[in-house]
Amino acid sequence: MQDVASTLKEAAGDKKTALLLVAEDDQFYANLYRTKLEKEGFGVLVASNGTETLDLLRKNSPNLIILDLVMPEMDGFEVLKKLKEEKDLRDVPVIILSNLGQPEDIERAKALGVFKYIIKSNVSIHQMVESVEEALESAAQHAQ
Amino acid sequence: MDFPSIACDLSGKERWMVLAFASVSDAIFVADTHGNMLFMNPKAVTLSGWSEDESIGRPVGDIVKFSIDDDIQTVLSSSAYAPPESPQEFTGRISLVKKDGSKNPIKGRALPFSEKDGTRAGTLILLSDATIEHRLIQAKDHFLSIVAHQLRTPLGSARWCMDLLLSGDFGELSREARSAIINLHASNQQMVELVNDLLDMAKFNRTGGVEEPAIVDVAEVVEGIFRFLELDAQRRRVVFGKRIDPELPKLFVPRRRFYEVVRNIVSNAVKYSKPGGHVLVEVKKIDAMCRLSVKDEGIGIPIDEQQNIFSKFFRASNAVRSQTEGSGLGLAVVKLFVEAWGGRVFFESIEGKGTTFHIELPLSQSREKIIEGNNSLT
Repeated sequence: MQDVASTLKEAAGDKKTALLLVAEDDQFYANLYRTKLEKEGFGVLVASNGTETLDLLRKNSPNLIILDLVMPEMDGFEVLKKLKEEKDLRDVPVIILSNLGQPEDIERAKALGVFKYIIKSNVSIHQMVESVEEALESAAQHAQ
Repeated sequence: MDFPSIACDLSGKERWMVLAFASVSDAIFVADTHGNMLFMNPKAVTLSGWSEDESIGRPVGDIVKFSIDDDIQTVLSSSAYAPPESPQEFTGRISLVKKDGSKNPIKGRALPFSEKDGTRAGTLILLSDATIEHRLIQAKDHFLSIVAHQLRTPLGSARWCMDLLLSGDFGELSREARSAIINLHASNQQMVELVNDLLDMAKFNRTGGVEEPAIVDVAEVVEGIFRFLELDAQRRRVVFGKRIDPELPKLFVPRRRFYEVVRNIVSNAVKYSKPGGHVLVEVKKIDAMCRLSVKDEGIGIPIDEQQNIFSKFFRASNAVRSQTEGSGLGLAVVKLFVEAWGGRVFFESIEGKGTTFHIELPLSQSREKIIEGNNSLT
């Protein structure tokens, strides 16, 4: 798994081989993410709570994290805080995709350095994919 | 009951007034014409944490300090004190910063007063403790945030699922299946928008809009809205047109809100148009105002229902017949925001012929004035 992940990481510039970590506790959403993103050619890992998200993050070094905020065990804000504390994880771009959308939630997430905050129900699944591609491109440009 | 020191000079007849001042539950501060503290009632002493002895004769700004969100802001500062020309309201997320630095949520107002001959005499500042109100608002926010989250989750995943069905990700659909899913998608979207409208309304009641104003190009906004509504318009065979004064100065409003406000009006125009109808957006300068008008050739609003059109949850009878979905919140939200920005919204309509909505917003408005306008809302 480590090998696959590092190969994928090297190919970060090529968005279609990037490895994505989706943190999503809702099964319906999780399946939709997997279906669509795999179809688009991405590698997809799904975590269904905060603890699992951090585990998978440390083991796989994904190119991007799609993070839900309301999750059991450890919520998205906690995950964000923890990953910003770790040197190896700090620079992985994060897109928040949540159905929380109060201004304070958005400000709080942005203060923790997320690439984008998206209210899930306000975008189509195609717009979600576009945001993923946009974040990967931006990260690839920064890496150069 | 201890009489405040100032009462020593008063006659017996006048002492009942002082007794009243001493007994009311509001904090009362009085500043003289130079902006120095002249009088504080006992509640003002407990609310501010400053004793009467320390305060009398000191600049009011030393004692009355407000904090909005987290910025400590001296509303009446010692150096630049000018009593307000007209009464001033303190509402929204405002706290009084006490002597020890702690904050106490308040609401209240400042009232300038004058001598018999009309010369300014000073300012009366009345503040009441709003701790409980603020707590209730927080509880309401928390509740709404959870409700919105719980409603959005199934609506959002259903939407994505239908997105995939419609884009052929699950294989080709029959024409009937496709058309059924398009309808499902539309009613699902209606629910998503209802949740957003409800949140908008609730958010507005709390803070008067949180988004910071920015410099906004009206022409760009109109372009964006036309693009957004293109599919809807095509489906109803509605033709868009626009006439925008190229000389028009930019507006200073919260961008996303402004976009939503205009989109709401234009999307109504499309929704209630007859097939083949035109929707014309015209933007021009009228005196110091920017007027944005959206004209349609649609069903119009019955004359006896026109007075209710901006009421929450109201929908005209012919609108309900023509479009079964719709929350009746859109225009109420539009009105709230436009008025908060110092503007107005009005319309002309003839049933069966069409409606024109006008939004007027001040052009030369300074940044300060707009922000003040936002803060003065409850």
